[in-house]
Amino acid sequence: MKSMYRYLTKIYLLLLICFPSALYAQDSSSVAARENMVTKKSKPRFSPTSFRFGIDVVPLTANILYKNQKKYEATVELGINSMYYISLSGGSGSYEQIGNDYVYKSNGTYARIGIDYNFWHLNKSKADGFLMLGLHYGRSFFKHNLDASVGSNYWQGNQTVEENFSGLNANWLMIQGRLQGKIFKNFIMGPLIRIKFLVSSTPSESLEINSIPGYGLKQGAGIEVGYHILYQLDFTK
Amino acid sequence: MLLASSCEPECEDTRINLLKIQFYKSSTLLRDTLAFAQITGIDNPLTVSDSILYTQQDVLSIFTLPISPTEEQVRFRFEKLESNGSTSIKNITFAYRLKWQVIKPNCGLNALITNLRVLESDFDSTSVIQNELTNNPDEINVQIFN
Repeated sequence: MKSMYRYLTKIYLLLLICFPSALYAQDSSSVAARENMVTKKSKPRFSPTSFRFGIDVVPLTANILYKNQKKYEATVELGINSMYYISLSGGSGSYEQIGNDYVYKSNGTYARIGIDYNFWHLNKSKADGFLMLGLHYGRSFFKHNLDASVGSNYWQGNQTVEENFSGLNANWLMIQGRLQGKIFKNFIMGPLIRIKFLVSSTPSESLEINSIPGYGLKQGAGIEVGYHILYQLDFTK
Repeated sequence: MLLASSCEPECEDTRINLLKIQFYKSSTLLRDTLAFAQITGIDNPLTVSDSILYTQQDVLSIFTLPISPTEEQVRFRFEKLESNGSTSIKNITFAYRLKWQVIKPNCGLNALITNLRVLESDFDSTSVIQNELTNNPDEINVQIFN
């Protein structure tokens, strides 16, 4: 037993002579790991850092410019570690299209939920800003109707067609990019762009869906621009 | 919405309400060229006072028939002069699903006619080969074997 103890002591001394830095490094790294654990314990990984709420002003401007559409939208967001922003937005929209022989109307409400990542923290300047990219899910509940006068050159024409469908819904995914800056005090402003992909919509038996509140024209490009004005409550200050 | 408005699709021809039928000989299954004394729309009320679509002068294999944009069923009467001088009458009823589509205000209202089928027929047999009406002039909707 004594010989075994001596043998192990010799090996340890040999290692200490040949690789002193390795033994020291192992020791220092374990200390650093312990320090890191202490730091992590004192600062939670996901902590709310801000709460923001506000509106998109582009739809409000469009409401004035285009009398056939109305849209109102509000947004609330929770900032996590100033990097992630959980976003919830919603609103109502109506759209009317008047042709020579018909009137099509669509109106309803919508909601979106998603998460944005703020790339601005990679910027080493001290300026407050937000360069955000996120993925959102949107859902709309709406109804639409058509009043038309339909004619035929052969069969008896100029008859009135009335189609009303309610309880419709649509789902879409959306990539949202935003560039925002703190203008004064707690106010944050900046443009945004949304690229939308329609996932599904309720089949509407005898009237094709033309406009979906919150999504826009079903056969449109699926691109939307906006401009956010938000008020931010900072939890870190 | 502003950007989406500028990227709307172009207008398509909205007058897609004609169905095309082609006649075949039952015995040989080859295309048949024939004339009818009269082809007329029946049962549903008509806009025109003269309901005759084709007469004896129209010697054709393909006939184009108008679909009603307000009903989901139309019926046609084919009157044929036989070699013995008598007149034979055959009726055919088409049913379909009508769906309205608005694209742009300037484009007008578009009637999508789908799920076309032959409901009743006095001809030997029929076959629907294209159950959706399109604006392709070469597309035949129904083959009629007579």
